[in-house]
Amino acid sequence: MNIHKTVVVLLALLLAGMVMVPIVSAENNSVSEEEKNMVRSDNPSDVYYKDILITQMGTLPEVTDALTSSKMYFSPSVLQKVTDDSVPGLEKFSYPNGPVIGYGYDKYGTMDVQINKESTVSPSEIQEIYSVIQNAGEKNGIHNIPCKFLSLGLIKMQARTDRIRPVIGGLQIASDNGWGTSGFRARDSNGNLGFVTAGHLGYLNSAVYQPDQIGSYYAVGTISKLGTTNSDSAFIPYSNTDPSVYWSSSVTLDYSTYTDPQVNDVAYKSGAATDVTAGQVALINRCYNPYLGKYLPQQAYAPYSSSDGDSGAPVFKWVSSNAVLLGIHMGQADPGFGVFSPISGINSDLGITPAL
Amino acid sequence: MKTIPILVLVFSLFLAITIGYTVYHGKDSGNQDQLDVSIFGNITIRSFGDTSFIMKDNKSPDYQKKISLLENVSANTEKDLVQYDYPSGPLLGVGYGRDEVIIAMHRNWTINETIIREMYSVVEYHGDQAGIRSVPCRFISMGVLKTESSGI
Repeated sequence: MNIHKTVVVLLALLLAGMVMVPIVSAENNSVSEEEKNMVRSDNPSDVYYKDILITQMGTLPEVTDALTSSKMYFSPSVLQKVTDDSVPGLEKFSYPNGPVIGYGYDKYGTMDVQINKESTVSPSEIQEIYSVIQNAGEKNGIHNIPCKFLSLGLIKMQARTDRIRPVIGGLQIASDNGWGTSGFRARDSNGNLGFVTAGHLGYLNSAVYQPDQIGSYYAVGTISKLGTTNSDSAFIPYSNTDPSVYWSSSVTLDYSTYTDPQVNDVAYKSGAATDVTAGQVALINRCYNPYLGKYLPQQAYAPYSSSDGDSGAPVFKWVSSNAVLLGIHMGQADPGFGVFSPISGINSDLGITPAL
Repeated sequence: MKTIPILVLVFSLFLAITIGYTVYHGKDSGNQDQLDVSIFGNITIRSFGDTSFIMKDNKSPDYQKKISLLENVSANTEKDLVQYDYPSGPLLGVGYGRDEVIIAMHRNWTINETIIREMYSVVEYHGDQAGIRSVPCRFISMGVLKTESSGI
């Protein structure tokens, strides 16, 4: 009987273990794709550091067989611990009280400290700062941890209503029919760079400004093409554009690709009036556009909030942490559907290709 | 006393299944199950058909196939309902959602059951042509698009 009970209990434990062990192992031993793909280099004069390297401290480890097989001098997880352990000691050196505007580790697996390029920093201060990081390195088993000191500028916070160049998606723009939002960068059939927005913002040859019609300093071109068959869109040739989209005052996003919206896609709109809002695409429907006085086929409806000034805003979704462009915002249909033109309709009407 | 080891075994099995289910379904399994159907709740005029979406051969199509079928049926239906088009009529558009054809009617339109039935008969016809048994269809009440440029 005792043997019987023991066997049953052991079987039960084995069964539970068969589920638990793989889960725990996966969490502890997984290596991120980022870690796998990092490349090691001990050449400080490479493009990455050109013109910004102040000095280097510490000692690079000897290259051994073990190191040649790894991608970084030290693993990101250890370097993150060193970074975290350095926080208390670096506080007194940190902006605005000191010259340090950032610190962490780079793709080569060494620490880096960003020094405000507007600050004057002495060698002794560099040594003091390095001592904090060196101690954190020792605590985590790294002797004389290598550390680069870089000269960089502060992040510039910008609003959608600022004059921003190059022009990106999600900025306030203005034309003859009012103000709206810049959509996305594109290239026309002649290879000219420019950007797309809502067609109802202006007319053919209407001047367009970013952010507003204050003067020629803010001009960004004129509308060269209007889309009215499958979309409500316009193309403005302008070379000083960037493919990214405004997400916040300090963050822009890059697209990985573009595709047409599908029902159930969670659509994000980045508009100059109501910022970033999102809603799940509920239907794909023909839409009567009162400005054009006609129906547009296959427009997407998603319950994200929007308001006057959002016209032309880029609409995108997330796929595996990448932003994928879906189209541009057109307007609102009660009871609270944001409506946007799909990318294929815009491309077809304007004869453009998104330049992402 | 015999029941104790059995209880231990049952509990462990339950634990194993629960953990396994949580780990598997905790991952992002896509957004196909997250549509808030209540979005149409307040604006639905009428619903018809069978949302279980069965083909005439008794098969259930996969999601992509279903969407393709709905797109096809809505496009064909739209061509046959032009006489109701806004602004001379109440029809704002014929499209599709996750599970059904969707017909958007102007919110100021006074509901006419005869017209709705007539419209659905067109949807049903095209659904039948596409091999769908009792194609699901929802009539919703909506406002006309308001473009959102801000006046200077």
